[in-house]
Amino acid sequence: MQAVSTNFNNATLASYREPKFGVLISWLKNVDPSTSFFKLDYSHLDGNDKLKGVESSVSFFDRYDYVNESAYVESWRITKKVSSRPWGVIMAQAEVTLNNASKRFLPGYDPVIGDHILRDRPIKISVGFNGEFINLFTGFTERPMNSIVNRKTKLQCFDAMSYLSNKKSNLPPFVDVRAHDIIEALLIEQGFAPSQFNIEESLQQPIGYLSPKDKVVTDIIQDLCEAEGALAFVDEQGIVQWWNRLHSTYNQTDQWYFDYTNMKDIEWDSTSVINDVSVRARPLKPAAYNKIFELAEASEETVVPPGGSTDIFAEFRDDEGEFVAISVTPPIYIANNVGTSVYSTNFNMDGSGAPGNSFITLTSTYNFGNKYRMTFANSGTQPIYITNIQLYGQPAKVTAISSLPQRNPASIDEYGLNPDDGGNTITIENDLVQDAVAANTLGYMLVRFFSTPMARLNISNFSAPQIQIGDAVNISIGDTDESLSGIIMGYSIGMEYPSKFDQQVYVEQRSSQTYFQLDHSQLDGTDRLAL
Amino acid sequence: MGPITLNLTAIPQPNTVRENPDQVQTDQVSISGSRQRDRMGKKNKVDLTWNFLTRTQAAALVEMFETGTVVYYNSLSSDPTGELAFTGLATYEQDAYLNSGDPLVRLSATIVEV
Repeated sequence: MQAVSTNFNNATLASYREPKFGVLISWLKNVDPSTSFFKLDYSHLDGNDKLKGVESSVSFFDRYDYVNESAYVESWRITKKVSSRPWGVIMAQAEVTLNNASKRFLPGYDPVIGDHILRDRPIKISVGFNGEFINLFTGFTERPMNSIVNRKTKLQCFDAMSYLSNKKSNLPPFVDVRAHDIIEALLIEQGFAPSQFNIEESLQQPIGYLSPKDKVVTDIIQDLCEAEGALAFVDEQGIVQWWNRLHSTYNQTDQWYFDYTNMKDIEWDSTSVINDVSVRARPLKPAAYNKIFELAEASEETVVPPGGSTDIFAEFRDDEGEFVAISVTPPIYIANNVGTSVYSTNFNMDGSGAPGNSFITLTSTYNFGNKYRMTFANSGTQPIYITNIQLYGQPAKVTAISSLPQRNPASIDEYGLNPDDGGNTITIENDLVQDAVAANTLGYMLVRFFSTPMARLNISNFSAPQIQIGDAVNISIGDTDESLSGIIMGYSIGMEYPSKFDQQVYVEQRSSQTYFQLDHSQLDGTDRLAL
Repeated sequence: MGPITLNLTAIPQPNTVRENPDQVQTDQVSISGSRQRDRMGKKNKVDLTWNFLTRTQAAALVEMFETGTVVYYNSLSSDPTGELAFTGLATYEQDAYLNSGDPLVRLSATIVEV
């Protein structure tokens, strides 16, 4: 639930409301380095200082110069929803329709913004009552769609997570680093300050080896989410959130109550039944410094031409398949192996000639992770063979992990084996699962949550814009005198003429299991230890 | 009834004037029948009808509705405030001529505040 004042809550619940909204767009995408933010007892009311996106931090998007386009807005709608699995990267979407009778949003028409009617414009949507606004969406526009006849401009927008889905990392490999530290490093690399994200602690062992280079940031986060059963999203203020798997399962006080007086309709469905899950992983684990590659004999591919150079690639493989080298000691010329990285040379391929090593220089090396490039140069006048290479370094080797079978026999008897997945065992394969405990937990979590079909409700309600994903809510079903506990798994909220301010929330029922919390739960109480 | 002007120009006074503000609001009804109203405000709207206009008078009004983007409406006999003035967008409808000798025409128009 977004933090709002009592007045805001009262206005939300009132029978008569005068909702207002704001749609701000930074067409010019200018960042004002002199932007100052409002401070109590310091800034002037109605002065130039801007209100921050949230009280405690300046979000990534707060420093753009925005234009208030609210007067042109005919409608807007924001949609945000968790997938059928309780983990992954969530991206909110917004659609804004602008009245373009004045041609303001026609590319090239307006003298100020006409050349900037482009994609990737920062946009914010806020809503409020009685002068108090909360932000509902922070993101970027896709390319504006103009209709000359209808005189309308439509903006399809994606939240700030889309910014990360267009960025590739250039960081060196992570070795034995916790998942939350990896995510923080990726965000900092992309320009986020520590106050602009909220990353909860990873619940498994450090990731043995992960090379993020040239990988899309959201792809890496998605894999980490699956491995941990975590959720990643950008909240309404533009703050990146990463919730570990226990975030929504700890004791939560109901934050909103739905009953027949504030619900317009309920569509009733149930969650898919999952009662048999297997988790497999082949994570890379750092191993001791050792010999990681050997070239036993020369070939035509290892000859270095006179006055030229040759690249020789060492590919790292063992009985388990490919592995990576965290570090490699560059080889030096030594005729005999002395337990470190060495190479040998000879004028003859079979090693029967003179070594000729004084003409050979190792000019450069590069570690790609799964292979290692060595460039040898020959200053002599005859071809010289590299006849032997031994590389020592620290490898990260594959460790095969499988979860114990996670199944619920009673559920299988009742509903059949995974009836919504074709009767097959659901297998999750993710090499960022680091150990059997994490694999078991991931499978157990799915089976525990979904082995019994739980209510999935699509509620049309009197709009309450402060409701967020993850909120615990209570739904009172008048016809059956039933009271359900649930979690907000998504919502759609929007406004259109004439003042239709509507909302649908997607709620999944959750079992009422509570987990032990230090300084909160009682010893020998009913709260169970989290996995 | 006091004079009504359009674009500060004297016009034939309409036979009927209906001031019917456009309420920009939506009422929502819950399962149990509870109501919640979301209101953005109201926009002035008038429906004007002239039963008998000469062709010249009708043409002058039509030109006023078709020329320019907005019409400035002013009435000195509005209830309850006495005067109602706003700028609005006009739409009109012209009926068939009433006789063939010196034809008269019936014209109706709606002006909605921008």
